Amino acid sequence: MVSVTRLMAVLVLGAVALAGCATPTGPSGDDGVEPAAEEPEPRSDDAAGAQEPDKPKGQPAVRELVAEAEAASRAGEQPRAAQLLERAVRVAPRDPGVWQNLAVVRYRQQRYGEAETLAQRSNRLAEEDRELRRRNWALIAAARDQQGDAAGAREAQRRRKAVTKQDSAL
Amino acid sequence: MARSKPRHRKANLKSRRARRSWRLWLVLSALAVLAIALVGGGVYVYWLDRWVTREFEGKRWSVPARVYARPLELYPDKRLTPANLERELGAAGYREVSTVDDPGEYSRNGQRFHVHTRAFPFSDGREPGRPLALRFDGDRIAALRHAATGDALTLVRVDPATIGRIQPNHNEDRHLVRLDEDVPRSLLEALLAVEDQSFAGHIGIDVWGIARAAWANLRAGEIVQGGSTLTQQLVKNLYLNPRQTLGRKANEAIMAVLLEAHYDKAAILQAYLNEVYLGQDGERAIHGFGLASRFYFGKPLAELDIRQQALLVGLVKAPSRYDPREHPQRARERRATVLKVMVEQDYLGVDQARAARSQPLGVTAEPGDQTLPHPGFMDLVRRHLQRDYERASLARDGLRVFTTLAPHVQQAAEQALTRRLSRWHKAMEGAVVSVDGDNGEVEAVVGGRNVRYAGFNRALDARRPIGSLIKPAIYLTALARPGQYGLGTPIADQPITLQNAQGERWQPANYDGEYLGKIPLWRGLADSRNAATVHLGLDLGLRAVVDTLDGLGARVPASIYPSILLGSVDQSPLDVARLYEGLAAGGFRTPLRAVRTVTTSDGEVLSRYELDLARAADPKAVYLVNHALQRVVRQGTAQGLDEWIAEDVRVAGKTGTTNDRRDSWFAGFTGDRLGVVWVGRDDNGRTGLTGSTGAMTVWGAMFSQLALQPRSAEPPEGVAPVWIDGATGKRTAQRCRGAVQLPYIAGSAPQGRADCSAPTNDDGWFKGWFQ
Repeated sequence: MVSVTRLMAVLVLGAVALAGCATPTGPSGDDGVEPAAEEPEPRSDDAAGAQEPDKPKGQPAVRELVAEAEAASRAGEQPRAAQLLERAVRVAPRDPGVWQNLAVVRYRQQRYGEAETLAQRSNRLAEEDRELRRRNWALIAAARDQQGDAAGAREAQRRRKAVTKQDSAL
Repeated sequence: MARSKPRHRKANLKSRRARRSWRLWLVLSALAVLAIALVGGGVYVYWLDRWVTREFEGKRWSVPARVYARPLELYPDKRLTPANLERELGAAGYREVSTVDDPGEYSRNGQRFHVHTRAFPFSDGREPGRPLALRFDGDRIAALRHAATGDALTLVRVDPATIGRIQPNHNEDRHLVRLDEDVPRSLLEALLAVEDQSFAGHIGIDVWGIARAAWANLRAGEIVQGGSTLTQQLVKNLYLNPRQTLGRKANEAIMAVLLEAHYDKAAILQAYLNEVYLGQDGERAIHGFGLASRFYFGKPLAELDIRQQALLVGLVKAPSRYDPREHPQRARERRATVLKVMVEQDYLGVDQARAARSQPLGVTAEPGDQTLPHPGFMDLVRRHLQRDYERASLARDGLRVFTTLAPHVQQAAEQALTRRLSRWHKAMEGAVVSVDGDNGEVEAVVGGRNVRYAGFNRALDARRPIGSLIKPAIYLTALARPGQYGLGTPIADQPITLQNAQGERWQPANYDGEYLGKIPLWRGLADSRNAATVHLGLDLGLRAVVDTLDGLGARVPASIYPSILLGSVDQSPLDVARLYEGLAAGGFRTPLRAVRTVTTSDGEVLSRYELDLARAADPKAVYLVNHALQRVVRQGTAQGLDEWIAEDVRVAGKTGTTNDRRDSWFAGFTGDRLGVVWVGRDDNGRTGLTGSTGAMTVWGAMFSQLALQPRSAEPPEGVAPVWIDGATGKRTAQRCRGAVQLPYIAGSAPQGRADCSAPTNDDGWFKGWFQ
């Protein structure tokens, strides 16, 4: 178990380097979802003029805050990193990368329960970003491991691999 | 005579002896009096000394916590209307000018703004003051540049509005200034030149000054000079009533010397600046230069120019006589005098003085009253802080409290509530709570129709039955069991009679008095069918419903009756906001927060209230409930909202009306903001309003003022759309009559297929998912 934890920690450490700009591009595929009906059904279109919600466009403001947070986190200033990421959340609440970074900081603060929930929140927003989802599941696995939830950690690992498989199937 | 002589001598002797003893007595009693006077005087001075220091310490350290709104963040692509930018700037004390020169000023030309921000020491770093050029494109910031260099800027924080102070018991408002930070040097120079030229050297009283003043007064035949030092004036302001008596003068002198013995000049000067009386605003006395600056010029002391500084200094002598709004001519003359003294003392050049003299007074027409009080929100802040801070410490230690209040959202809420309420009966009251749906920050609280009055805070303390606002919790309980329930599952909308343990009968009726038989589950919520909801809730079990409420963070009653299914449970608007926040955030719960950080006056962080998340409910089930709540607005009880809000915002919401129309509720959310409105009467009388004719209109009026972030239509992983036959709840195809597209959790879509009857066009609008 120790080695798994260490592996996870490595993965997690890598995760904070991620820039806060996941770019969802289209509607989610049918990953892991039972097909809704036999005939392929188009998603109903939203009215053409409808504004899409804040699709993170790699906001420069967010990039700046995330970069600052990353530096702070690396310097061991986790509260400051968290504060900067909370600011980034306010600027781009739909950006799954920001939520993930906050999850990583909470992990580093050894607040594993919060880290797990934040990673789940990130997953909720990261439908199209498999790489991000993989990292979130890795983080969730590590967080559960740290909380002594071995079964939960294994389940998270399974989910992580499932995301990877979808990827290689593409 | 001979006889008389000795007698006389005797008498003489006697009288001499008597005189001697009388003299002795005189001396003795004089000595006694002197001793008593000395001791008494000593005691008296000692007593004075204690009093002086005690009061001064109290005053000096009594710096109430200063409370700030959240700082406005500006960045390209930010959603904000130009009008709301102006509201934000106004709240932060920015002035509209034609040409922007100084920090604290802005100009607007249609969609373009120039704003010169002020520097501000945030706890995570100092934000520099900068000249900005902004361009809007509709409700978005299209470009943000440094106005001087033309560089593109990515993120700018505007210094936050001061929204209040946490005072001790009295209701005195003060803008305390700090000698080293807030007070222009030229103002100090003017003050010393005019009021106390020997301040730096004297011991509290200025003997020379008194003599000089007496001579000047004698020559003039009237009182032209006071002769009081600043220290004496401070003593007068701090300790004494304004009666002019000789005894009081003596006291004042003694106390001034004592004060000087204990404190340094800087401490005395700072206390003076914050204490001196400078005018009257009705009942309210204007004490201190900080408040006076806001009162007369509508801006902070640090931003006053020479002519304004000179005017304020001139007011010290006689605030009502030189009141610039009442007696502008006298005020001009007094200002000229101050400027002249400044020149004489070499603090000001002749040309500068001439230029300042020729300018208008620069006083605002109306008393510029810096901060609009938001008592409803401040009340929440105070309660929040009382968990971690003692009341005394808040009123005394000069803490800085950074809150989550969004000034333009607060203003929109206040305006919407007061305007809508003014159309109804005068006994009607209301309350509004607005929360950021993503992080739980409370953006606005309105506690009643009189938005400036700190009375009963209905947003926090009016606990009322919430009626149909409870229904989403019941449908969420059902939809969290995807094997059993989906949005298309038929449920029974039929009469029902219940009996409680006491044998009392209860017959929940539909609002329209009709019963529709079988209806799809989503319709039970969208059309707020009471009978269908009670049937569903009883099938689920009351315990399960209460568990859902608990998971969402709602206040759960101690004993549970079936009537809870129709919302006979008392909640405040803030409680309801907590309940709906879990839905707005997609199944994640964040504790509602009104405070972000508390720092010392030097910026050291004492507390940080961080963003915290917990799972409130299954995000997939929440997505389905929110879909139904969106149908409430599209085609259900809240259809009327389209009068205010465009459809593509995809608002999800719920109306609530209680028995006899006593309470009117609406809770709704966009992509980033949740609003809860209650309308009702304090005496619990009838309002004649339903949720949609009352509270919903307040919500609509409020949100129509804001730049809205549409709700995401993106389903979570594991949810996909399915065509369902409205009558049977079975699968069907898009082309079939009665087909409705509904989201289903993977694997839970019904297996059977409905017969496909002839395709039609007439109900085509109704079919699609989000049309």
